[in-house]
Amino acid sequence: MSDTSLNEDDINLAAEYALGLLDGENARLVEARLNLDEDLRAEVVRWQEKLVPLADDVALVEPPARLKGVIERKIYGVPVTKAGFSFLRFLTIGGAVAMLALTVLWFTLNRDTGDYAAVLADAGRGLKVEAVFDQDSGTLEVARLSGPELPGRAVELWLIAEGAAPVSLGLVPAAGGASVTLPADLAAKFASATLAISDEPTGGSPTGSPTGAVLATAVVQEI
Amino acid sequence: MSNLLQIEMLIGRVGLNDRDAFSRLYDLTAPKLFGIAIRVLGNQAEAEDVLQDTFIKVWQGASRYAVNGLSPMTWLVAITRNTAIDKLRARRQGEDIADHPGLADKRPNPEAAALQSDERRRIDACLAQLEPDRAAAVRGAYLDGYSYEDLSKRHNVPLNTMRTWLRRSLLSLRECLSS
Repeated sequence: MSDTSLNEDDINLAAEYALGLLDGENARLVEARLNLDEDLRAEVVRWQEKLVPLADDVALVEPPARLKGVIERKIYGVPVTKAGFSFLRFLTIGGAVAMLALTVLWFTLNRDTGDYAAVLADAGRGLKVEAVFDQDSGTLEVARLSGPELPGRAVELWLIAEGAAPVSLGLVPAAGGASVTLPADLAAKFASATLAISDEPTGGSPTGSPTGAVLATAVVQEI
Repeated sequence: MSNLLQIEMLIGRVGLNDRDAFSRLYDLTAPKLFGIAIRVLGNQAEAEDVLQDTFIKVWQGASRYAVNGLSPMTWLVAITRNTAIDKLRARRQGEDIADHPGLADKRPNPEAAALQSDERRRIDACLAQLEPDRAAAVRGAYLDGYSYEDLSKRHNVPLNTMRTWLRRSLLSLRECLSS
């Protein structure tokens, strides 16, 4: 076929995948290839686009009115409380892979009193991030302890005070650690906050709120 | 259709966690997607589960939509069909295929032809060039979620014969659709 580099076996595979004819295991194998094989992906897209007009025949059916609310509650978590939307509940109910903080810290700095820390770990990615805040100096140290930076993606650190929307603390370094002085208003909230890390495009979230998957959360502990 | 552009813009905003956009997207597209789920599964209860799963996947996947290459409705339909067919396959063990209500061969209503899009006319015309039972097999797979096993039972041929029939038919279909 002149409009693709694929052989007939792969063209057929793409069509079968688009139609839903492949059994679970074979479908997963094709999906794995789709991430890497642009020609196969283009062929699947071609089939999906060519076949979708068949669905024009299918009768529209109004879903039950209650279903929308059910879906929104599943996605957003419990409804708004008097104090304002609780982002924490959103994080725990939502689909994020989260591992709560470990108690063992990896930095071996001398500690004054008034230090607070959290370790955020996403086991699935082998990602481990530590954040240590020195209340006396107002300095936050953020370190990527393990886990590579993925191409085109960044990991962003967020501070979530109870009842408040997440505030960015900046990007987690691709490797090693970095220091930043927190503004007074964030410094005041750090000790009682929850931290979170999210998957964002390079350069971080373009919106000022998390846009990608929440990878981990951790409650800040005094150390 | 300006509606398609609107849907594309809404998906973009859903990717930025815009809840109003998600609500509007649901209002615009849920009836079509629910209809597709009911067609595949044959009952409303399972179709409701599929609609929920579909829109949860839309919320979670919208930020990555721009890279997948599909036009907006095709993306939504694909998620719905895939989710519905997964559910159908999970349920289908032991069911007697002959009793399934979707078996009657459905053809497009010729009187409705005037309202069809160019893309719709094209796929219908190309399917018409196949032998009727091969065309029915393609439609059956797409609209009713028939598996190779379902199709081979329906047409009384061995599984491998059905695979070969479909392979040849799909390659012919591709030639026709490319011309």
